[in-house]
Amino acid sequence: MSEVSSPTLISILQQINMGVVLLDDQARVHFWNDFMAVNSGLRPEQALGKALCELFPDLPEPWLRKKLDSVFMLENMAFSSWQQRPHPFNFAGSRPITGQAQKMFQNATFFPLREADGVIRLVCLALTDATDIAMQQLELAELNALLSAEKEEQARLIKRLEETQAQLLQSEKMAAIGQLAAGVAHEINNPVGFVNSNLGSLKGYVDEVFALINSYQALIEQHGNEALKSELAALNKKADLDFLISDLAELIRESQGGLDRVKRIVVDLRDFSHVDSSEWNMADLHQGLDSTLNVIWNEIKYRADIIKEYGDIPAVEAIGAQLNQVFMNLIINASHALGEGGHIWLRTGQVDDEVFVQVQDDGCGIAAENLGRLFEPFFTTKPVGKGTGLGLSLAYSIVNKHHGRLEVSSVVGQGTTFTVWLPKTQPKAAEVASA
Amino acid sequence: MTSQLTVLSEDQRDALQELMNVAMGQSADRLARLTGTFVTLSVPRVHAVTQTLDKVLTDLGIGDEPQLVTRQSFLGKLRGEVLVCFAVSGAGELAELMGYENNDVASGDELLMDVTNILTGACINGLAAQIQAMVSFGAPSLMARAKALREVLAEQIAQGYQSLVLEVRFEVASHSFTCDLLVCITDDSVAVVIEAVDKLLSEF
Repeated sequence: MSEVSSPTLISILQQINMGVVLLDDQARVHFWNDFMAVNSGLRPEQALGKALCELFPDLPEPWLRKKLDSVFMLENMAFSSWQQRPHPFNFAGSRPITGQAQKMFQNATFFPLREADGVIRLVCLALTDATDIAMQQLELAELNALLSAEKEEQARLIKRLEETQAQLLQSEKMAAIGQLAAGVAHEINNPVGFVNSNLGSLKGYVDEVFALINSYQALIEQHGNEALKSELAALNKKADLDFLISDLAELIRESQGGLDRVKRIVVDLRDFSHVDSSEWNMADLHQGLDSTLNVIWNEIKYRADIIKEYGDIPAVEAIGAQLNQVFMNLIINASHALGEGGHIWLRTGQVDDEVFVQVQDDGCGIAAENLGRLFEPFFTTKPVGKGTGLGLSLAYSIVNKHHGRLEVSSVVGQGTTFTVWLPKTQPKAAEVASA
Repeated sequence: MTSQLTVLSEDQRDALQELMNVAMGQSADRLARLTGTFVTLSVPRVHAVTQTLDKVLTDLGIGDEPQLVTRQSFLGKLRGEVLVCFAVSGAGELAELMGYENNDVASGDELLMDVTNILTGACINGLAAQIQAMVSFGAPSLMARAKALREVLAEQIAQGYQSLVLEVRFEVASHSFTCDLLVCITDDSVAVVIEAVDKLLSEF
């Protein structure tokens, strides 16, 4: 101490690169150094003796009061950090050219000034400029927020990519099955064609043969040879000719009926898969529904009564094969929800410029908590291995692609209704995209 | 290494408790006068860390709940940091009762800093005064918001330390408000605490 004079110490305090202010218990200024003078524009003679809050009307008085009281009473330090109170003094930023900050960020320390007699009469306020560090930290925080936002966005995109990939896989699988079905249908078509044609000829020949037999019998009847007549009657009886005649005709008619059905299924299979048409054209939804029903008939016939309530609807612009896929998923799902003797209603109709196809069942219904997740890929309530969880999500994306909506309403225990809404014609962009 | 604080004799532990009682008693009185509200500070319970800190945290049930944790350094012959754990929601009501305005997050935090500063000052000054050691304080800061203390300790404590756990209860008007102080003292300055305690014991 003895080596440095008091005037030197005062000069140090006066010139040090931080704010030094001495305050009494009324917050009046007793010392005011250069840093404070430079930043506030108040010369020491203007500041000394004045209350700090008078000099800085922006300074929150209760806050200052509390800090001073706490130092005086607890005889302990008090702090203020730029993080909680960025600008206690309204000083201009300390980076006037390069900085974004308009105001100086400040840290403040209040400490009791214990005098020689041990009494504390003054509190020293030491103010440091934290602008640089505050700006760096704020920048980092901003960057951090940006990064985490980006990360979230990426996670979202990855999830969407996964979903899309799963749907793509499923729709490729369905397309492959469709192609296979169409190939099989084509192969079946040929033999069925010649069997059908042969059966037609066979029917003609059989008719002729029977006519011939009738003529023979009539001739024998005319010539009146009793022995021949009775022998003939015995032969007829033995061969059960009357039954043969009636049953053969019946057999042929039934076979033709069967062949007709095979033909229809083949046509429906081809219609359903429509390998050739991943293109937009005007689709007859009733025909689509009927051929879909035919294809899946085997799957649903023992479970459900199908009740068709078709309205009067125009053809809509669509990719028919894809819509059939939607109908198939909805109808099969409905049939899975049914118990013994359930019903499935297929309704169609038109509201304004939209056409709807509704599939309603009186099955078990869908729990409310599952309703929102229904169209999520991989969401399934079926036992492991039974459902892929892709059917409805695929249906949803197909309907979406058609600029339509897929709506669902369900009451547990009463049944579920899915409604596909489709616009009659697609917006121009879709045509361009598909071309 | 075995913590020297865990092998305190019963007498030493009692003395430490007494030291804290006096320090907190004084600061309660001052806190009441400062805030102009009727603040009582409970006699702090000094938990001897006779087993691991982990065990103490479990016993007190303060390790795993999300909390608001502040910290403040004390420097000098006695070196370390005080961690103060508040209930996540705790500050708002206290701020109002203690006459802080603008019940926003920043001013709530400011209040917690002040409380941290007052409590840290009280118990560290109490210790330091006993042995006439000079002690200086760093500014308090927020360490974690809504995080379990155990997690905070695992993430942010880098140096060896020994700890005292103080449980302090505020009562402001009709509300009670509890916070826990974890006084962490560097390994090399624990001897100072023992010295302070022994000095107190010798005075009896």
